[in-house]
Amino acid sequence: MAAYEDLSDAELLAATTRDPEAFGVFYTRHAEALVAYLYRRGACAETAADLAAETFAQAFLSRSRYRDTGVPCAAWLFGIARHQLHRCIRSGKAEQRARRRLGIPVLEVDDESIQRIEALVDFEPMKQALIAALEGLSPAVKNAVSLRVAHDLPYPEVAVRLGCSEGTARVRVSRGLTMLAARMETTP
Amino acid sequence: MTSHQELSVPVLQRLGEELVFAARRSKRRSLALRSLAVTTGCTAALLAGVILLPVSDGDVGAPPAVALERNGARVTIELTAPAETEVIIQELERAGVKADVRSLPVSPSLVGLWNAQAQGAEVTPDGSEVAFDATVAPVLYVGRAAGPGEVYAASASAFDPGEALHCTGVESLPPSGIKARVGELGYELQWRYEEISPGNGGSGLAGQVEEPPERSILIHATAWSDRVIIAFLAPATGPFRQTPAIPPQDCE
Repeated sequence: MAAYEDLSDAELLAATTRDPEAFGVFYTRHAEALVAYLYRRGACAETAADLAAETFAQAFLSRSRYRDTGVPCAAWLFGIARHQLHRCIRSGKAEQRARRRLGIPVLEVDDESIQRIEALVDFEPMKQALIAALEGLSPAVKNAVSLRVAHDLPYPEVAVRLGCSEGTARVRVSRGLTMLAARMETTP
Repeated sequence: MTSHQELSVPVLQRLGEELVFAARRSKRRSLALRSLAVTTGCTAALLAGVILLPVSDGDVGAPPAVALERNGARVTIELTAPAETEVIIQELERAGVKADVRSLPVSPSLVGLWNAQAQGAEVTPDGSEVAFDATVAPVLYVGRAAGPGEVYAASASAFDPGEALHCTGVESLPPSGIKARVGELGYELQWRYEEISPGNGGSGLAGQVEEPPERSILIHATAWSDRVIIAFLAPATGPFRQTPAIPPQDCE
């Protein structure tokens, strides 16, 4: 096992076909960072753990398709996770296909695990990033986003408060969220 | 999973054990399939006088590379697992969908995603899906790993996970420090300097400069290739003067 610790991720994936323990080392190396990534991207702790499980199961099933071209293997793994997250957002639930194929049970996420996952992520940088991103918006757009998202007001009321038409309010909120998303993309 | 590899999250520790167990089971299954193939091959060889090769275990159990959804003539394709373009084309053909799938060199975090340069199709912003009318054969592009020095056809923020400057601390440095740090990381650096008016998010016009003002703030960086980083700077005024333009990254 100690020898595996010195291998690169690509070497570990290659070794997995000979020795399943190699995948355990690969998993241990990335598991917490991946869960933290999913949690930061908006998944709750339980869903983040669920998505991470499916991501690693799919990575294991797809390992023969990974080509070591010098690109960090983590990018490949996080790419799979990003797919899983987007599918989950659309369907409202984490997939289980890869886990079913491997016969991995869906694990119950206990309270302690939830607390530990939450502790993996420091939201202060995200808060600072959001403040910085909001500061970059024009006052009209910032107010529109604030009223609609932070205060959860319906569009007609947002429009009344901003003194504009409902259509204009929608455009401002949409533009603001797009700009915020672009700025927040730099937050891992 | 041995004791020195304990993870701090109990459910992740259990999952790791399940994965290794599943990996062992998968290996036994592959070996059994191979053994069956050899046995079958030998029997067939005896009967027919030919020799069959054993089944390769390379893709045993590999999930499909794409998930396809039809809505009338509209087809939506999601990349569900990393795969070569040939594999994607074959899977689409089996589903009766004609598309020319090509690969483009991209920065690491975009590898294995649809690229927006598709012709005759629309790609979602995150690159996970592409949609088109099945009556036309679109040209689709999938990001692939670039070769040494090869210019990326598309690149993500250099601070994204898997990218060149992720968790390197570059974002908090002044221009001279950025130059030194990026050089230490083995990259050539090019500067772009963007004028920003107070109250807006930037003019979007960034000119190439040899030496930016030292009182500048890094607002974006992207990789041109695996050797060249392009850093975008702005004056240390306006919307970025009080808070970091690029937030500190949550790194180990």
